[in-house]
Amino acid sequence: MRTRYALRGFRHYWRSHAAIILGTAVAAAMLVGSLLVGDSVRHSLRLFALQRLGQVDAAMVTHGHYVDGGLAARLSATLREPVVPALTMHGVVLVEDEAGERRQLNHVQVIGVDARFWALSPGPAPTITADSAAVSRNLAERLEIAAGQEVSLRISRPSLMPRDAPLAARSEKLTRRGTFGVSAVLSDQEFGRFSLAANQIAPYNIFVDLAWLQQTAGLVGKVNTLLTGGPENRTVPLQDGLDLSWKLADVGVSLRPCDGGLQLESERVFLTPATATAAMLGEGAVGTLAYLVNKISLGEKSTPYSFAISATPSANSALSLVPEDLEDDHAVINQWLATQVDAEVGDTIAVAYYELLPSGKFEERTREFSVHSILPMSQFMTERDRMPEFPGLTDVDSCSDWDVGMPMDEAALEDEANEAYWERYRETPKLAVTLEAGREMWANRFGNTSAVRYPGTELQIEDLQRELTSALSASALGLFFVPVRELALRAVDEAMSFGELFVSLSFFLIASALMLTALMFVFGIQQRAEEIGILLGVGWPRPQVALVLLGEASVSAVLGAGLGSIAGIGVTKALLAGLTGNWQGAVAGTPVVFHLEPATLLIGFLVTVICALLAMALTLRKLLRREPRALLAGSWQVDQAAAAGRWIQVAGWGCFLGALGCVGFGLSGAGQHAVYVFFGAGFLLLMSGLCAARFLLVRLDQRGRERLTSLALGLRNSTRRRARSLTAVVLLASGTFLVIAVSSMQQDLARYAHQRSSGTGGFAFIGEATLPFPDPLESAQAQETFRLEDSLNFISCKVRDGDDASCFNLNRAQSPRLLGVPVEPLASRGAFVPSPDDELWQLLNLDLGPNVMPGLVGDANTAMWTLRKKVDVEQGDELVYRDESGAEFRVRLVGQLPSPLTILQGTVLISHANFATRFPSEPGYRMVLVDVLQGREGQAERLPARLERFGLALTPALTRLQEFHSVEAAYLRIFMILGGLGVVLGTLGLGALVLRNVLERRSELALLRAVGYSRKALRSMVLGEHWLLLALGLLLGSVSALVAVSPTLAAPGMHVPVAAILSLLATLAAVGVLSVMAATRWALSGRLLSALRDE
Amino acid sequence: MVGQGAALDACGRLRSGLIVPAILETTQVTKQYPQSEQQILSGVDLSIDPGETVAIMGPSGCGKSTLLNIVGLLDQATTGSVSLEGESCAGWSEEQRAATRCRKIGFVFQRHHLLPHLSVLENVLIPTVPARSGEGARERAQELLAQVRLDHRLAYRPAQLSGGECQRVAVVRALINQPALLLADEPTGSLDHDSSAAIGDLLVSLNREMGLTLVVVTHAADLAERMGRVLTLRDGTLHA
Repeated sequence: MRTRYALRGFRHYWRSHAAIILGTAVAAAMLVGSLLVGDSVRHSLRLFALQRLGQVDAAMVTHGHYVDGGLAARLSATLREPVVPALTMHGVVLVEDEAGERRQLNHVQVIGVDARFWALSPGPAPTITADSAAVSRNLAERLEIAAGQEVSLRISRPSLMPRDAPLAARSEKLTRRGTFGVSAVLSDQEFGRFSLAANQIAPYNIFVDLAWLQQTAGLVGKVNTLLTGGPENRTVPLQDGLDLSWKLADVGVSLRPCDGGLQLESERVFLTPATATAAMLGEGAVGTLAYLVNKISLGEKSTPYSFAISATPSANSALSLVPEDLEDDHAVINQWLATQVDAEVGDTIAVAYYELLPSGKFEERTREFSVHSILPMSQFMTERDRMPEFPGLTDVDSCSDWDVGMPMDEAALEDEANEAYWERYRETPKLAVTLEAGREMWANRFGNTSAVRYPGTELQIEDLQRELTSALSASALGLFFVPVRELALRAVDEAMSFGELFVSLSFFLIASALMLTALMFVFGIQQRAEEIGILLGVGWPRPQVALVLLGEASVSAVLGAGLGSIAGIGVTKALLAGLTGNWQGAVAGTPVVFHLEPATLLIGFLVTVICALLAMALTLRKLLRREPRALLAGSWQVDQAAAAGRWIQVAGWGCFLGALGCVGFGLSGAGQHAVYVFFGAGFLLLMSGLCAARFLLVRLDQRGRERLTSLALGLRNSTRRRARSLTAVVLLASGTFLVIAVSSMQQDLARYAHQRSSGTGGFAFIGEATLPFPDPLESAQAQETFRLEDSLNFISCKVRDGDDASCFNLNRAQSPRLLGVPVEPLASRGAFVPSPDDELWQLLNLDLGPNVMPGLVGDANTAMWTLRKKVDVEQGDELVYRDESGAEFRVRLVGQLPSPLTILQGTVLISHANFATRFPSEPGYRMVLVDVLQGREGQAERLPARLERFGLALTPALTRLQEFHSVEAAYLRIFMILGGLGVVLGTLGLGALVLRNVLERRSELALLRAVGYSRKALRSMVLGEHWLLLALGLLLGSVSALVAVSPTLAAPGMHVPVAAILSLLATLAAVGVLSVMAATRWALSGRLLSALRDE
Repeated sequence: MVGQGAALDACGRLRSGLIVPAILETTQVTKQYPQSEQQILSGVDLSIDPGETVAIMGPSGCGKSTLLNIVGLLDQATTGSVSLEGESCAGWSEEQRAATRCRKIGFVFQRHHLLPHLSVLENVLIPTVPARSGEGARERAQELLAQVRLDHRLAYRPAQLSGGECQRVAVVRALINQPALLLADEPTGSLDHDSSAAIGDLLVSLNREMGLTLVVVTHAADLAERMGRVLTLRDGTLHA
């Protein structure tokens, strides 16, 4: 019976149900559409992740140093699975068309591979030789080239010895160039997208012959990447396999016979701390540290630029010049030096030397030593063959040809006596001190030991090597595999949920649709109040009546949600079309492909049905509380002054104070919580406004009793069905809130771009080089080398590649890119901070203890959205990194650049000093911030040409900011459209309310007409009533929006576009006014008086 | 408008001495609804003098209410004319008709049509708003409500009143602008016997005490009997 009753009701009141179906369908379409966008983005990211990795499961990448390619074969044998070696580096690709026009593409990933690599590819192997290379499709498209054409490739020529290391050669040619025919253009499915970085943006790839790249880069036999395909049933764990397979030679460490024994040394001059520590454990080990000192003097006499050696004091004079009893403030000198400076045993000599500061600069220091003994040259000559090989120093004929990375006095270099010494004794040291004293003077971030000597013969080399390799783990030397596939999939799983994002973006729209559904339902139910009264009157229990009516409504809800879910697929496709069109900034141009998860469809459907039924149940509950007599008599129609009025006032004030609290919290600088502040304050303000609106309606009703006028009658009508009126107000307010909030968040980037406190930091340009330039551009050396104008000021930064944590990367950045920045120049400029006195930059100098260093997030958006990390000096989140020796360290996020958006977005900033400590081998500088004197911008624009071989791309800081802002702007556009749709729904709701109110009160209006009210008076009455609701909705929405966004607007670079907001508000008001007028005209049309006859 | 001499009115009654125009006069009024082929009224002639009380009776659906709506300017005749106080209403605009209804005619309907969200006093005052009756309206309303013994219910809402009380409020509302003509369409149709009698008493007393012209459409014979003249509408025309 009940089912039949419900179905009959559904059929009879089909018009009411059609409106419910429509409202539910809109809600379902938006919900399902939003969730499916999330599915599609996630599916696309997963697809890209798998495409870029092919069969690769784990990868070992040695940043800043290289290993012997033979390790791959040995590891492969140990693991019994293919291990693929590769050499990857950055490069610049150039093409010249037939017209002679040259096109250049920077930031190209150069991958040196052999045939083994393609076993990991999902596609066939292209032909790659010394003359031919394969390129990725995006590279080919960008340079407009095809297979068969010729391209030039410029790469950096890395040095085995870190370029920043003391005594490293500087004038060595830094780049090399090669020419190739393009043998194949590889699509994403053919491994064209290959990359180990968790980013959905495809890199520009060029695949070249491994041997060619090794040869050209001066890294014969070396690789920096090992890849494995990862069989499921691996018997030996990867890292264990590595520990079993690696050899000292793989990391450039060798043991060789030398005068008096064996010497362990590195091709990088300095042994890594881990190697040195392990090596010093050997029996009879003598550690040494060699250095070039600036001057050795005694009184007025001196000798310039001399090699010195420090060694472990030892009784074994064959291995160490330093006797066992030598104290740290004593020195042993050779006869030549004694003669040169007239030194005798017991004299005090002064040794001047350069100390390498963390900033990369050299500072001269002097230390005095008492002459312990003077040894004949023959004894010192034994050191000559044991000295490390310094390219540019030990391989030149004359002192004046020395090429070292330290500032040198040209006149001193031409010292005749020293030249003669060089000719005769070459790198034979002139002085020896204890290893302890040597380390105190010359240890640097590259190491504190240049060699370790052992007693023994060649026969013992293998045993010693074995001992050393077993004492060292591969990971301690920076050889460790990273589960790149697992990380890639995690990055996808932890990526920003576009489903959640779009549900948030369309939340107000979905809520509006549900409110509209409830409104339509209540219209229908109130129309049937008498019927309900009869059912209750004849004895139906209230729950049963509720069940029947909700059962009837559930048919509509199911139908609406079903239709809406299907329409949701269309909404998704429309949103995806937007994301690949006008809104492509929101996904950084990622081609998102449609993907449907049936479970999502079901979830969207069920959630909508439940929400719609809940909304309807709430409205029904109120009606069912009425007495049957009231329902039958129609007297339920008037909302009584609720007894709970006081509680509503309390709730209203509570919400208001809560909103103020949220705003205050936001203004206090809780930038990372801005989104919660916005939604929290917005919701609470809307609620408090709603309570205020209710209060106003009650007051209007009371005031209207004092004097009866047409206007008062109209306004009081709006108080008759307060719930209904307030629903219309909320509908309008929600849409208005969204539209006004979004439009007020427009940033005028150009307006503040020149200010230091803005997102540009006041810099005119930001430059990014593909290949590192050796010296900071602010240094005198670079200014001279590159002929840089005085009108340009620079701040050069070191870059440690990592995940892009900017808004362009949809994946969750696991290890964001690190920038090593010079603290003082940025602090003194007051760059990116509200005032030059701001202490933010100084946070980078904090000492946080061992293995923890302070870091600043590149901007507020990065902290809040991409990293989703807390920043605080004491309790900030910590990011775990590995330094170049493989040791883990943590970067605590002690702060963030305060602007929501800066040109350093997506990076974590650490001090130059800390950067250099952890990544001493990271060569040169790859980022530069440029200050230009006003009117001299043209000079900056010549920079890329001057640094062309480093592939420097110079971007106006404002342009960079606008590029980043395009993502936000796209979201705002989406938000705006959805807000606009919310306003449309609100307006529809208001229109429906007008119609319903007028139709419901038609007989009352007819009575008024009968007693002499003019049609105009009636129209004014109806318009006044509904314009009041419109005004309340617009006022409530816009005030709530402006208050909620005030913390965002308080951020640097933001301003309130008053004119735009006012014009938008005027448009909304005009649309609302017109729609109310249209609905009123329609509702009052026809013969109103006939309503009296139809009684 | 005042004339001299004797004349026959439309119903053939002799008027003598000073000619006082009929307060309400219809000439050959017909009514046919657009969707209907049947003519509800087919040439109704009616003339009602000031202070007269008239009952119009007839079977259901004969057109009584239609006639009342036409003479009350709530509806328009298909043909024929209606004059109020000697002034023809032909060609009047909607607004002129509304203004006349406001000033000169009071209506009482079968259902009271009280606005549920307004109090008794406010409901009574509703016609004073377009009439701009001024400050005395409130006092007058209270007096009238006192006359119908509802002065203790001024702030009540309609839902809190009985059917008879609601109808008395509706009568007071019809009188608030001091109309010359009161039209009542089955004013006791939905009331019990006692309430019907009370309403009848009220209407008759209003006529006696205020000289109000009264036209009542009713099925109730006892109410009709208390009117000065009883007309029957049959086959679209009035019969004495």
